[in-house]
Amino acid sequence: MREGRWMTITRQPNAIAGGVLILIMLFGAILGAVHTPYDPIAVDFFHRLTPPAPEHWLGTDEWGRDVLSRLLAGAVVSVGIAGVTALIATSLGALIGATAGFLGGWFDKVVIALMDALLAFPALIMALALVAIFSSSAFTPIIALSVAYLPSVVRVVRASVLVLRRSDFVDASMVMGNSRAITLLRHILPNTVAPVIVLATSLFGWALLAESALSFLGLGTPPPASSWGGMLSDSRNYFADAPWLAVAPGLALSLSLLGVNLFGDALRDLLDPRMQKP
Amino acid sequence: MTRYILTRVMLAIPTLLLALAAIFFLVRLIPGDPAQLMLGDVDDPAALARIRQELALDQPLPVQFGHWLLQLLRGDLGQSITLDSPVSDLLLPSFAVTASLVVPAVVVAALIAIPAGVVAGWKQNTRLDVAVMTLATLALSIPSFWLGLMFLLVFGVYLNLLPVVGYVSPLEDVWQGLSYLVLPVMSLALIEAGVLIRLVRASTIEVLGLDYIAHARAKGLTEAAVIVRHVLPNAMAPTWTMIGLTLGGLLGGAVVTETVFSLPGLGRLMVESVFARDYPVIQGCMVIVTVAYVSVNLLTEITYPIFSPGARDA
Amino acid sequence: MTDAISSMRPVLAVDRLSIAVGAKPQRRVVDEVSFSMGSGEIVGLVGESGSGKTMIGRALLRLLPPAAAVVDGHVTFDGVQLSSLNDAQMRGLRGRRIGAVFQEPMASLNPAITVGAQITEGLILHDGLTPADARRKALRMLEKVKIADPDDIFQAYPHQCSGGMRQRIMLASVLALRPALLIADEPTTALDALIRKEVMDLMAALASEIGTAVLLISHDLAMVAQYADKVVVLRGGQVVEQGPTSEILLRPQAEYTRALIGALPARHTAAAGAPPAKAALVEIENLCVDFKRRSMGFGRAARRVRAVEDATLDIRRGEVLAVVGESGSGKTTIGRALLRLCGTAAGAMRFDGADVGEFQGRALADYRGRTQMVFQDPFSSLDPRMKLGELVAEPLRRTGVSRDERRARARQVLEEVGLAGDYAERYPHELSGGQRQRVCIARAVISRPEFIVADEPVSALDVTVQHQVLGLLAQLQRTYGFSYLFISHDLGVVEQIADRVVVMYRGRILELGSRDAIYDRPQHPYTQRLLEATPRIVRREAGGFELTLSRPARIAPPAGYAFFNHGSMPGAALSQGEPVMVEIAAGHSVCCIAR
Repeated sequence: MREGRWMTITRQPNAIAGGVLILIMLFGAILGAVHTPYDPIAVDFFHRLTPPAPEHWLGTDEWGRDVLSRLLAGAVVSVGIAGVTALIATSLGALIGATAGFLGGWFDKVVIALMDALLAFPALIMALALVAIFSSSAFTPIIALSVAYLPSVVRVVRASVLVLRRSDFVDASMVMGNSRAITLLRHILPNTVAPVIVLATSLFGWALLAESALSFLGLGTPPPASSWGGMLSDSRNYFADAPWLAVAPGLALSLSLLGVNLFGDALRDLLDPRMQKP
Repeated sequence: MTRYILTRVMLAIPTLLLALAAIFFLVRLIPGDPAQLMLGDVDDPAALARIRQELALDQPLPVQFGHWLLQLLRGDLGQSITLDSPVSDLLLPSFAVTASLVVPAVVVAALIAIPAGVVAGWKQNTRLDVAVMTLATLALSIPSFWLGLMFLLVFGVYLNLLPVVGYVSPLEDVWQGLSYLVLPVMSLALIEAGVLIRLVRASTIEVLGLDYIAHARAKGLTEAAVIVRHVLPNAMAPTWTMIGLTLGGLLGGAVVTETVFSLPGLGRLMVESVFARDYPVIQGCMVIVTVAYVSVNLLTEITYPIFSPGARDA
Repeated sequence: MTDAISSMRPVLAVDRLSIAVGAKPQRRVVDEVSFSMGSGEIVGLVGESGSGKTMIGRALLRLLPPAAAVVDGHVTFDGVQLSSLNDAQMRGLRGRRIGAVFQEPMASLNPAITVGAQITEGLILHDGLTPADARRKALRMLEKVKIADPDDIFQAYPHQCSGGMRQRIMLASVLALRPALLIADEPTTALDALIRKEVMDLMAALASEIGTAVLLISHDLAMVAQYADKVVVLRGGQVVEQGPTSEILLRPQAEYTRALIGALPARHTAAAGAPPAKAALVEIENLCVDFKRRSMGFGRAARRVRAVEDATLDIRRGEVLAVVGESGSGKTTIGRALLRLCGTAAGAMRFDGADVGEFQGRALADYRGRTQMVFQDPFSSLDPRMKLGELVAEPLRRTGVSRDERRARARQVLEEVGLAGDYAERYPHELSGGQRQRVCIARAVISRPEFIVADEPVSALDVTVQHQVLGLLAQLQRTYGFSYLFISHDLGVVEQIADRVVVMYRGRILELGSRDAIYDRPQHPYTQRLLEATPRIVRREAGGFELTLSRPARIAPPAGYAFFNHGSMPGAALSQGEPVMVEIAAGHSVCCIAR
């Protein structure tokens, strides 16, 4: 990573907007873990379904719980699950993809066949099936989504390892007497970092979305703990009377995803190998 | 051409078999007696014995799998635990509902995305391009189920234009059926269009930079002819693949949209079965989703050489 | 080709044309360029990369990239100022009156539609022909560009045609409209020598038949000298000098032109004479290398393709052995097999007496310490994430040299290849192609190897940079005395640097001998054709330069033999049976078959 290229990213309005949105999301998640204005699960029957007002900035829900506090607490869960999922899928996928691409042969064939089969299950279906087997907890969506996103990472990393393996500088490394292992570690893997970072950003967005969808279906984070998807799901019963219940978590989710997408695009432009030539 | 198609089919078969094996063994992962699982919480030794035999539980696992595959081929997916009906009778109508949601959604998305993406790529870095790209990125960042909810709020609750939730088959009553489908289709289509626009634009820009486009212009063709004859077919190749992947994925993955609009589709059936621990139905849903995904992809690959004749001989 | 009438009214007049890119600050890439072309004339526009020659070509079609614009001057075509035309009028000129052929034959045809549709497109648009008439005319044109089966090719897709065919198809499609001017931008750069000659001969013949003037944009001075009537020499967007080809390229006045032509590879007569009889360092005997052509097709078995067949050669200590051949000749594969970058199917390779194929582990690493490689593409042979200092010093890591010493040695070697200063701290992407190739050379020589495989090390470089790098390679060899296996498709470069030459075609060695023997007394008809397709500009003793074109001479094969032909001699019957290398003079042998 050269400073010159970081300078260019900070000059793009889209990248800045994306970065700011991500920072707000992370700040919300941290705040939600440390301190919320109200107890996110405390029931208050005297203030049910109050519209946004100075004491409850985003109003209250059908149990009189503060929406802002639930939003912040939900951020901890959503961002946490998405982050861990992206981390697991990326590192495991990179390991498998790099090994398959570098070794080739029967191992590569087996990996490719397995990944193609995994791709035949949409992420949500995979998650649903695992929930059916293991029952819902915070770990089920993490495992299910990590497995579901594994093929994408494996494919990207394997493809770039295959390209790198044929590149002259890898031949040069062999010619100068480096072993295959050293060539892989010193010359091939570091050059797959850029596409993997871009992909990890996308994965984070997909996982955030999928986790919310699972909670929306009632199969993610079990209540009363708050989650953005769960809040959206509950809001449907009070649709006409309390639209803020549907708007707030949806907006939080959309803006987070927008931030991830904008930042991911900027990162992709920045790390694009075609930009590396003078 | 025949050889190309045969090759694609032969390559799809192991994928499908592996996926089916995964489904088969996933249910076997659940602790307890598989026969009891398939029967539910009923204490009926006779039925249990019958299911045992149906599943060939006394045979080794590979034989059980082969047995299960044979039954699949005959369309026998077992009996639902909670609903008194064969699984296959539940799956087909649900799949029809999902297809009537997803297919129009993908078509609408493609109809929006292809012209928008080509124009944005052609007018790269102009205000028009920035506007299209901003809208596309926004669309792609909105979860489809939230967009669906907002549509319901605006069109159903405030404007009272369209029915809020429910489903009538368009085969029974065309207009009423369509009115139930408009909002769910649009909420899916807009978001998928966001993804597609970006891809179409990127491929358009890439194709525009190639020598044969310079040649086409140097031949004196109008810009319209250059775009339609030379850019579009080549930009369509990656787009076509993406459309296939989207369609294949949505056939199983439209779960949330179906939930928002209370459509009795495949995803909805699966969610309800998960709640009810109706394993035969869960298994059946996964089989149909997998088969649909693999077949749609196969179809996409077989038709791919229309846009990229070189793929046929590769 | 210039007749009196046409030179009075030029077909094209470029008057003080200036093109700039970017906005604030604007940078002029073409600066007040003026020249003119008479009808039927071939004018060469020559210059190195960055000279602005391509921009001028695009400006004549009014198809500049969006970032560039004409800022001054005008272009008059057939008496009409191009800037006065509206878009529709300009489109009417394009294709019909001004045709264009660009560099990359692989990307010049639309892969999604048939060859026929692409040729007839212009005919239907401009000449208003019916599809049936357009088809007839297209088929006639395909025949004219010597496509063997026009009907099949008409229906084929571009991916089914070879590079040379595609460029001929392009010619057919452009010249079918009988334009008054053809802009040919590096039309043959990506093609092999024989195909290049074929395409250029066709282009010149058809242009003169139709009366089309050709603006030949190229970096290849010898080729331009062979075909062009007039030459315009560009540097940094400005005209250095222009005039008749014989004046400019053979008696250049401007210092830059003289330097440019002086930088062309040439035989240094001093090096001639019998090669020193030293011991062989590398010996290759009956080497065969196979490639597995991966096939995804159903029912198609993985095909084995023999890349090198029965090759026998040796490389002596301190000598440069060049392997020349077209793409697919197996020349690169020999080098890769020798460095154990690919496996072999049969035969033996010995290095300093030891069997190369036997090396394992420690021995293999030691062997690799004594050999090195320089690659063709200086952009892809350096790991983009490492600093030059680390890159150059990497071969030393294994040898247990301390970190500080590695750093010092790296600086020293970088200095030796002409990169003094803080280069060790820079990254590859900050350098030009020539500088990168110097880094690759520095990396190859830092461990003081005895043997270096150089695979097309100067092919990607401009003439003057190529000259410097070749000089550097020769100088390092004098200093350190290592041997080279120099792989190249460029007979000019090989003539300058090689002691002995091996000529390959489709996996077979066809001829082997001293440099002078191969260039002055070529035996095999293929070698002769290859030399004929490579015009060279050489310095005359009397001053100035001359264009040398070798003409094939009919040479009888050694008594009792016929020259071996496995496709290298078109028109002649293919040889049956196993070929033998017949020595016709000391150290000069040719591939024959017993009669």
